[in-house]
Parts: sequence; structure tokens; C-alpha cells
Amino acid sequence: MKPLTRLLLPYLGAAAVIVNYYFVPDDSILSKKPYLLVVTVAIAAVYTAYWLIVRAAKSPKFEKIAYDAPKLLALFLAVAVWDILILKTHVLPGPFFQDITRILGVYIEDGLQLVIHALYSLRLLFTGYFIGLGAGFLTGVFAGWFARARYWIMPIVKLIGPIPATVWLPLIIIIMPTLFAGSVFTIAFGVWFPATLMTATGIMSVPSKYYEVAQTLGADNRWLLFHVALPSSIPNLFMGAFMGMGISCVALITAEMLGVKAGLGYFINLSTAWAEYNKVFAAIVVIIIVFSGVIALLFKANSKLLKWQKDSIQW
Amino acid sequence: MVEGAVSGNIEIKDVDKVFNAGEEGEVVALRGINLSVRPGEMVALVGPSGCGKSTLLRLVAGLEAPNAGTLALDGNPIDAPHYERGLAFQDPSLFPWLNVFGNVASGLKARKIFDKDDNEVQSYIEKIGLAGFENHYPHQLSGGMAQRVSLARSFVNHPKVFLLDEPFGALDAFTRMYMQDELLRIWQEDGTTSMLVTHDVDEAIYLADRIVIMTPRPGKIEEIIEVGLRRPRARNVEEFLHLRARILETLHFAEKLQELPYYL
Repeated sequence: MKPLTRLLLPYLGAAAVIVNYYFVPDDSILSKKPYLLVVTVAIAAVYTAYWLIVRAAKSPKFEKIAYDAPKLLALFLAVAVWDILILKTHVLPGPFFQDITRILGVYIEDGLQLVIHALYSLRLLFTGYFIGLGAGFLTGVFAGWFARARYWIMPIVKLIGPIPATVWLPLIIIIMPTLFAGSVFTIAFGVWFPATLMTATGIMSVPSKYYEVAQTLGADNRWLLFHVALPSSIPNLFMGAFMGMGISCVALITAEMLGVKAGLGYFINLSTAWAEYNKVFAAIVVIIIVFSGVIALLFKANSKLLKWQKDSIQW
Repeated sequence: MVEGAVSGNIEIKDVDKVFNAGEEGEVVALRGINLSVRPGEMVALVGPSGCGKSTLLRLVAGLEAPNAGTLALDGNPIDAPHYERGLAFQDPSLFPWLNVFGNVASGLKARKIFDKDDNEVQSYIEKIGLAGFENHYPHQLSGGMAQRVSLARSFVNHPKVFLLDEPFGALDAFTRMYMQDELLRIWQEDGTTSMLVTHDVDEAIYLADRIVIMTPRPGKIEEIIEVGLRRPRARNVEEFLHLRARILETLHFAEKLQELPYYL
């Protein structure tokens, strides 16, 4: 298919969304709010402006946009199908399933509340994540570098590490002084395990030739640790950081659902209690955006720090 | 031999090295090695695999300790690695997280004498013909370029002894010959005592002042040959070929050729 034809595909999808929602008859007694029309037109407008600018700049990104255009079409079609299944045919039953306009309405009417809850979630996530990552990095370096530390640390890591961090949550919530501290601890604990393990194995698996060369260049033990072992194991540390991020996200939402009185997990729980399922869906979408954004940031840091690597992980 | 070199005298006396090879018991890698390398001399160690030539080099580097005997550099016993004894492997072993400049500078940085206003590192990068590649990472370099960086990384430390373990073994024939000339040029400028392990007899004759022929099981010195050819050496003159035949004979690779007429 020619790039220009591909570029036009999403407009078909946008039209399908609007025609389906506003013009196909249904038995809804509520008036149709203009949210879906506004958002769809806005997305189409941004998309149009983007590819026009890129094309005018003769950027190679143009090919990429055309290549990805069918995905935007698919997104619009998914929205239309969602509305058909819920609003037009009732295949998916209300009130558990809500049409797109009611979900969009949450952002427009309760947007600020969602942002505040998302920020609470991020604060908890990053506090726990970085504490756990830092602690795991330190224990990992110790266990990887000093045989005696390894002797004591590794059994603990192997015994306690594989247990899901959330198992401790009910206990921790009681023991720790505040709910926030307890949740931070749970998340940190979950990250600590993969960070320790990956850092330690990274340091232990540094090829001995690097140590030998460094020694014949005049390096002392300190230099071997800081300038050979550590940089050489950074790729492993990132593996631990990625694994830890997955664990943190799970622990975060669980903590918020079990006790913390703020954050997206709490927001979902609260909305379920009030049977406001459109808010549940809206919060899930925010969680998707926030978590994939965080992972994307991590990958950005990874490829920036590891530009010396031939085949670093791609995102 | 580079005239005027005053330091870099290696004395190896009665050295034995035994490896514990698990179920197979002990393997005698080296037995009764005696070798004296003069300051500024280039000595090549040749021999089949298992003759202990690389082990001997690692002993001189201080990466292994002998089970018996002594090694000394300028009268000081060798008991640990030291920047006075620089080492280059067949695998360039560049630090992949450092660019070319970082790799060449790593010795000076490890010794905490790196001065960023001093252009010593830069001059060595230019010496090996890699000016303009300072910011390249090892994975972006060809095998020959990486090996040159590896050599420069050792040279910039001004070691008294330069230990080369089949440094050009992984390169193609043309790059290898070019690199041999490069090595000779830098060696003649700096006058660093050099020990070169190689399985390439031609390379040994082309480069070395003396060739130490070693044989395996147990690894020992079979014969030491003075090359005695004037530099620059031609690879196709009669003396060169004669030496080559003699070395192969010592290593028992030439016997079949001599026996051939009897069967005809």
C-alpha cells in the first residue's frame, strides 16, 4: 500500500467512531454529550498536523508514521466496536461496562481528581522503587564482590526473594508506623530481590580478562571494583531494574487497594464501591499510560547509559 | 635488540608450574624453565599448543605464581601484576564501556597520573593511526583497529617489559603483516623489552632477536635460536627460509619431508 493511502486510513476509523455513536440509533435515554466528537476530532487534527509537518520537513519519520497509521485505525475501530457492544447491542451488560463517552466524561468532569491520584501513585511507586533499587544495588555489589558477604547474603536472597512482596503487606501495614511507610517498604522489598540478584551475578560474571588487563595496567582492587566490575555489570543492573519495575507496579496497586487512602488503586476501589464503573475504566487507562511511560523512561535511561553496548534491549 | 636500553632485564630461574586438572590429576605445564631476557631484547616463544608458552608469559606478568623457581625483573622478584609488565592478548580485551580514548587512557587513570592537559594519550592514538576514532566504542572497531588500541593502551604506560600473547593471531594475513611492522616501529622507538608468544614461525623470525622453541608434556625449552638477521628483514631471503626449516625441524614438523625421498 502506498504511504499516502496508509496515512488516510485513520480518518475512516474516526468517521466510523462518530457516525456509530451519534447517528446509529440506540435505546439510551441520556442525551449524547459531545465529548467523543471533540476528542476524536482533536486526535485526528493532531495526527494531521503531525504528518503534514513531518512531510514538509522531509523527515525520515514520515515513513514510520505511514507504517504505523493502521494501528491508529485499529484504535478507532476498537472504540467503535466497544460502543456497539455496549451501547447499541447490550452484548456487554451495563453498568459494569460503560460506553466510551461516559469514560471520557470522567477525565473531563473529574480530571483533576484523577491527576492527583496518579501523582500519589507515582510518589509511592518511585519512593519505594528507588529505595529498593539502591538497597539491592548495594547488597548486590557486596555479594558479588566479597566472597564472605556472598556467603551470608545469597541464602537470604534465595530464600526470601522469590516470595511475592505483597504477601508481607498485611503484616507490614500493621507493623510499620504509617501506611505510606509500609507500602514503600513493600515495594522496596519487591525491587530489592531482583536488583540484588542481577547486580551480584553481573559482578560475578565479569570476564576475568578485564581484571587481568586492568591489573597489568596498574589497577588496584578499588579501581577493579569501581572501574571494571561496576561498569561491566551495568547491563545486568538494568535487567534487575526492569524486573523490579514490574514487581513494583503490582505491589503498588495491591498496597493501594488494601489500605493506602490515595492513588489509582484506591480510586478504583472507591469507584467500584460507588458502582461508578466508568471511573474504573478511566483509572485503568491512566494506569496503562503511567506504567508504560515509566517503563519507556527506564528504557531511555538504559540506552543512554549503555550506548557502548552492541545489542542493548530495544523497547 | 634495541641498543641503549638499560632496564627490562628478565631472569627466569628453574621455574616449574603445575596445574591441578581435577580428575586427571596434575598437569605439569612448565618444568625447569631457565631464561634470561636482556634489556631491549625481543624474544619470541614458539611451540605447539600445550607447551606452556602462554603460561610462561602469565608467570612473567605476575598473573600466575610458579610452584618452584623464581622470576625477577631488574633484580626485583615478580609476585603480582604490575604496570611495568604490560600485557596484550590475542583477544584485544578492550573495556567495552570505554571509548578508544578511555581505553588508551585507562592505564594512566588506574595509576592516577592521568593529566587531561597532557596529550600523551592523544599522541599514542595518533601513533597507531586512529586519530578521529577517539569517541568510537570497541564494538564499532575492526579486529585490527581494536588490537592497535590494545597495544596503545599498554604502550602509553611505558612498561619496562611488553608481553604479547599471540597478539595478531586473530587477524587476517595482510593486517597481521602490517601490524608486525607497526609493532617493530614502536618497539624500536621505545626500546621496551618484549616477549612474544606466537604459533606463527614466520612471525617469530620476522620480529624476534631470539626464538625460544618449547615442547609440551612437560612444557620445557627445547632450543634457543639467535635470529641474527638485520632489520628490516625480508621474508623471502634464503637465511629466513633456512631458519624456518630449522625451527620446524626442532618442532618435528619437517621430518616427513626429509623421509620422503626414501619412499620414492
